[in-house]
Amino acid sequence: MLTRAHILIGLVVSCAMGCKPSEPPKPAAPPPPQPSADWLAGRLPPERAQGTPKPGGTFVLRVSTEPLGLTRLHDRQSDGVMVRYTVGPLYETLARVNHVASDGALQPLLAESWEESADHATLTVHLRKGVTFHDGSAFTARDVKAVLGAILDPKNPTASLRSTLGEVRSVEARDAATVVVSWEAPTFLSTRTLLGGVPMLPAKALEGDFDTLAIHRAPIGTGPFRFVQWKPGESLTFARNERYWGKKAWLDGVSVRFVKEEAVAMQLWERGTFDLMTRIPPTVWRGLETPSEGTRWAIEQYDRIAAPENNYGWIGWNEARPFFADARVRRALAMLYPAAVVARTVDLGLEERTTCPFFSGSRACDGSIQPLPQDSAKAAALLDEAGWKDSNGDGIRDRDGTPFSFRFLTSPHSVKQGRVLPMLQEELRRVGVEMSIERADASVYVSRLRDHDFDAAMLSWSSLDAVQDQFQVFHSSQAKGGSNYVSYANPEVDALLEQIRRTFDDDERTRLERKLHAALFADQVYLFLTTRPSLDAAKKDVRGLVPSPAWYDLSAVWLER
Amino acid sequence: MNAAGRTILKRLALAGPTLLGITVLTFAVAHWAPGDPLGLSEDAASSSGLEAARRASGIDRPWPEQYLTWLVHFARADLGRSLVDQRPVAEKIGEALPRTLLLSGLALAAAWLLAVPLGAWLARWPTSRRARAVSASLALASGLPTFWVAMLALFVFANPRRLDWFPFQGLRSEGGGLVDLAWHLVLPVLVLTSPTLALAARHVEAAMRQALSHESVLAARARGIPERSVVWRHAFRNSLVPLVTLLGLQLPHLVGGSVVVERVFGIPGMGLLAFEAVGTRDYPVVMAVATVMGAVTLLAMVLADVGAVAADPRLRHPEGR
Repeated sequence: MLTRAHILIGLVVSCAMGCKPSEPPKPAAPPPPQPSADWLAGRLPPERAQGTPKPGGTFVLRVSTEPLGLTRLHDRQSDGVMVRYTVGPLYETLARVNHVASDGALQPLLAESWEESADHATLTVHLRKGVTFHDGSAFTARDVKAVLGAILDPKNPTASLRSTLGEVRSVEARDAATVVVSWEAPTFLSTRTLLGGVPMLPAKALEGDFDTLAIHRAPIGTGPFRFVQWKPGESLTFARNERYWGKKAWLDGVSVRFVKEEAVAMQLWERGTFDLMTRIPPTVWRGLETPSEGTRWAIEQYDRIAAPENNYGWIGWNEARPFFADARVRRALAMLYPAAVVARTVDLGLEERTTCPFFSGSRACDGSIQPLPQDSAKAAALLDEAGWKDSNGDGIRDRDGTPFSFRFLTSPHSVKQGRVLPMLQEELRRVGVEMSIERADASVYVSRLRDHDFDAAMLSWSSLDAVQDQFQVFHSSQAKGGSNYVSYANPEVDALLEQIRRTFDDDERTRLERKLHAALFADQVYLFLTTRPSLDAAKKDVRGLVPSPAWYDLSAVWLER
Repeated sequence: MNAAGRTILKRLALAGPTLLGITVLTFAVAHWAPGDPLGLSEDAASSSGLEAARRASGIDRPWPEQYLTWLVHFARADLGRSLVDQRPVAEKIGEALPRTLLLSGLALAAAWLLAVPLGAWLARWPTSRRARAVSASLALASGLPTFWVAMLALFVFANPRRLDWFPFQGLRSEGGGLVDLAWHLVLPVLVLTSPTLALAARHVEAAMRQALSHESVLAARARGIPERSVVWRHAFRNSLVPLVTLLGLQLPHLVGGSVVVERVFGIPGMGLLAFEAVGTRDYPVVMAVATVMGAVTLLAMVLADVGAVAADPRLRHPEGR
């Protein structure tokens, strides 16, 4: 016999399966819409850039992480995502890097013009007049000097920008609108970083203990939007800067919503909460492509954007370990990586294979270099050649009494590694290489990489600027304190990296960078994996979004509502 | 002063050293765990500044020294700053604690208000079909994973394609008043209530069943006292002591929060604060949360003792028994 409680339980369960409030019968719904070719490819249709812009509306976007602070200068606050939505909208640099153009040229922004001395050691910058910060104070040479002073002060946690700026000898505010910066030993990136990579903050906001400055949580910049509020754990709000020196933004405001939980973000997205949804998981992205009642909302209301990003995934073999010191072994391991299966089953065809540490498709990459094909017979032959043979018949290769048995360090948060590593493990096992998977907590993972306390690991590097210096990652001196986690050391590559730093001619530097790409690939310093786009979606009434590796320019966006 | 009063005073006097012990242990365990709050970033360029940052924050010094520094600051009511985002810890607690108190307070109150009549009813009619169905539902409610229940609640009751009855995220809409707040609270409070309700109702049932089988109840029934009076005046009063103890054990949840509920419903409270602080080895925040939790737990234990004495007069004169 059914009791009331049984009925209640049944009701809850059936509701979960799909109960709806009782409504009068509706006419049959039209068949689910078919996604267009642009939609499937993740391209914005051309008409989304057309029309007459109109002011108004708040633009709501989702990000998956909450920043620790909003100052690009601060090492620990400066994560790539935060920089994308603050530098540009809130903060401005002296020059704008044209990320949409392939050469990434610099265009005047807070600086009207600049001149470099013939030896590239001195840069004179002429500032735009009449620019004010959001607090009403005027932007002058004094502010530029204060910002550079904060970065160059070795006591401050600003080592990241300090190292790319290079050895600055002096910063002089010649008058209110002229700054002269000189370097001890300039690199090709010194002036580019100074002009295009350093956001300008008011001098008086930088007074006091750098770590606890109020500006980290309440930014004051010169950009087309001003900061309004930060609700911890919830959102950031910007409003249009009505006193902006340039062309004012169309949007009344921007709301950045922090939604970490993937399932929650998906539900909010489906409810139409976000004008711009970012970081859509590949499985969801692909799942939306089949027309059905369940995907109608996405196809009808949103455009999908596979936005290019400057990043690449890699597997690093710690060369201080006996197994990986020999390049032939690293080559063999690369030939065992199940790239095709990973591309099909994990990346779902959304990532692009790369062999290059520079922005994929950049002139700095040698286009003739192709990934090594998966070939276990050749890999086995290479391992034999390097002296790794199964001498005792236990199924595991060995050399000088050491079995080829290593541990792959992984972070439990990486969904991708959780799926890829067991596949790699199986491929290696078949040729007699034993790989175990070691999980490390996030707070330990990076320290262990830095301390070279690992055998192999998978990571990804990303950069906002397509023009990059690879010194910190591959120079042998950077094994200590830098990012050469794999302890790679090749004197020829060291010399090449040093030469690239001192080469100011773009064509000549490109030639050297291609040589570097070839040398790194020949050494198989990393097993270069793939470049991943950011999978985003924008409401169909959003206009003027232009995807680029440095994200979208929100000041050009308007809402057609 | 009677014996019970002395016991309570003794408990209070011991609470101080116990809390101190809790802080020492928390500090030691947090520092023995590998990793540190400044080593998290895998940014290509930040490693060179790492040592300087460690020195500046003091986390390169031996942990007993760091603990003493923390204790001196704590004694001056200074909880310090987060090592991760440099915000004052008191400010972070000040944001998270009221949200958690509100959520957990309502959930605890709702759970007990329902658990007492439900448990009593179950104890009174243990073999009825309905009681068995309710018992099964309670077992289900206590066994279901909170994340799943929370997601299901959102999927069914805050979904435009199903029942769009409740708001989906947060505590308030823009410019919303008290009604809006109450509306936002319904689903998270319900999700938080169900496991506590299940546990409390089972305890009430067990305690009541024991009390109802006591000879005094038989005697009361024999005297012709109405059943309602037998249950509530005779049996329930006798079952109060274990229930007060259980309630005392649950009081620390008031400030502990729930990571899952807070994350799913977008209400960042003490649970998420503690979870993230432990994950990022943010020692000052970990210490502050542990101290608040420890203090509330100790206080709850004393309150449970006071409650037990109030509920059972025999405990006031233990020597006379």
